[in-house]
Amino acid sequence: MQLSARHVTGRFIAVALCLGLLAACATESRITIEAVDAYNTACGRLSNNIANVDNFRNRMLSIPGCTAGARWTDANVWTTDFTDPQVVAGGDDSSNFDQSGDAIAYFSGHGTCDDQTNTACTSAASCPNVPGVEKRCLRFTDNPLAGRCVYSRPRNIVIDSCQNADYSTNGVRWGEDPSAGGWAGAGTNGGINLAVIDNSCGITPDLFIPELINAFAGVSTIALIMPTRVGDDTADVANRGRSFADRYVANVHSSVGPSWTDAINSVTGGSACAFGGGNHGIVGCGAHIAISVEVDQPRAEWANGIETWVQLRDPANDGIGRGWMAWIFTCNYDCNNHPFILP
Amino acid sequence: MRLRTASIGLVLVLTACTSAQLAPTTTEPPSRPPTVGPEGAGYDHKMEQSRFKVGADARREVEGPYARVVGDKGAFLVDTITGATLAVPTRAFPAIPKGAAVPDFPRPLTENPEEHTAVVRAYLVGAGVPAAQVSGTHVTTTMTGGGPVKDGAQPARSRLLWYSTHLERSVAGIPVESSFAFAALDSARQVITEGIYWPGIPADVIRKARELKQRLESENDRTAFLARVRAARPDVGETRGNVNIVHTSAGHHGRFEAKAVYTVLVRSPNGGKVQIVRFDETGAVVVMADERPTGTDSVKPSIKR
Repeated sequence: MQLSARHVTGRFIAVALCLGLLAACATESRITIEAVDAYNTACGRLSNNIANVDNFRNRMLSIPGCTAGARWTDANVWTTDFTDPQVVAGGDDSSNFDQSGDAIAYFSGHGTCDDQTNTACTSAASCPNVPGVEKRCLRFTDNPLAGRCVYSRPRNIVIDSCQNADYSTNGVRWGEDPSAGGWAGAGTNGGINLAVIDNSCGITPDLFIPELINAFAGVSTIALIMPTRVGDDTADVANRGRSFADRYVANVHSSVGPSWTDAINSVTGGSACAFGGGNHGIVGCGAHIAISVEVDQPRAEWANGIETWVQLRDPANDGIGRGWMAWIFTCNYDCNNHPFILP
Repeated sequence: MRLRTASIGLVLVLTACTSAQLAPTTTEPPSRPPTVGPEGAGYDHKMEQSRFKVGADARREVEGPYARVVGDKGAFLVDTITGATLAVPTRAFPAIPKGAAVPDFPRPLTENPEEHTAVVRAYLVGAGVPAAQVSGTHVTTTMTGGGPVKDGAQPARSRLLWYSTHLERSVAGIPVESSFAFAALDSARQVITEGIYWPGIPADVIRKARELKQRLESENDRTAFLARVRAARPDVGETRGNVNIVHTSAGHHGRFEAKAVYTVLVRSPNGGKVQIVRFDETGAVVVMADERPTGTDSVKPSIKR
């Protein structure tokens, strides 16, 4: 049998690519999922979080490239799963949500919405000051143009007993490992490159830095859901995780951050937004947002808008500092002509 | 020949290495509804009808239930089980290393959402989405921004990347919650990204939805129905719902389900995620096939603190 030089070369390249992919998998390929439905009555039962993370991981594993990490649900999800042992006593994320060798960790469940208030405003200056937190006036109505005050209070992952794991202040560091370095003061015993926090009131519009900067310790991107009007919030749907994974299955060379934001287009369920549109897994107005932090602008913009699913598994692409924040989001309405923030 | 044998061997090894990692595939055969009438007709999108350009070196590939056309600008995927399609761009190929200059995002068709919607509606209906089922449109908006961390809290400085226009689906005047057809167009009127899942809705589901809607227009019937709803889920309280049609989602590889339901949004007592609770015509809670957990927990590595 005769094989042309081009054929041989092509096959060699294909095999090399496959081996390269497997090599990357051998380092950081696992997907860990945590979800809670069985909340106690104080915070209210949910129905679709476990199915949501299962659907995400099953879809991701339906093509070669990634491997199954841990799965914990309901009473097996603890606040210490998310906190770092180097920065808070009892933290145990190294064995749970931020394990060495994991590429992606996905949480689905409740959050808290104490960042929102019903205090009316027309600008941030008209919002009462609250010590230790930033404030904004978040658009509430167009006619008359008016807002509600919101504050950079710590954002939370809520577990079954309604206890909170605060990922804003000082207990959480994700993604620190030998390739990222120990610059965040959390050792090098983490590993994830993408954290997905699928909860309620995951982040407040325009308050990204005070609410999220401390969580970056090497993780490339954190993906969240951002309600953009007081009273609106994330819907408890089972198809959000799979809609995200669909972008990977369709094109492993697509970019991870835009894949998360674009996934909102395939998520169904919810209700109308006061400014038009709505639904897509949101009750009212909101957005999928992906946030990246890096030592400088080129690296942050690369992590946020370029990094592919294949590159995400390479620890050489970990974040190495907190100099620049880049974000991309997709709203379920026209948030270009209805900006979140009143001046 | 030796080279070919070695290549085949390597492929087998790679397949063996990777197949062990694959999630179990649902073996339940999908059932496309046999009694779909013209009123609930579905639409299966095709690459040939799409304005998405996959770019150079286009090739077709099949991987399990997925059929793709892949080029250097992106991939067009058909889920061969559900018929759902998804076009996903590649920002840069070959891949750009971290820290290198980042290429610009595509330029949007327009900053006017109405103009974008008019073009997308004409495109998708022209491709074959049944016009009679398009009951409305809306946009989603993709924006980007950034800034130095040392400046503290950021001002609201994000810029528009593109709009995506969605066609909203209703059959017999009843919203179909789980279908979607959307596209985002660039300045050359080419697709940046698009997705379509518009399955046929069986005639008996449409009939049940009509009947349920009609029943709830009678005060006595509505009172009796809502009493059954509250008995099944007391947390619904006085919250009003809507009749709609729901079906299994675009990526569900089990049996296709479509149901006429009464849907209520139930808020959690202290904030938190909002539940979407559905009831059938008897007032019983409906759980769709793709809303059920499928995994088992790992062993927890440490004692609870």
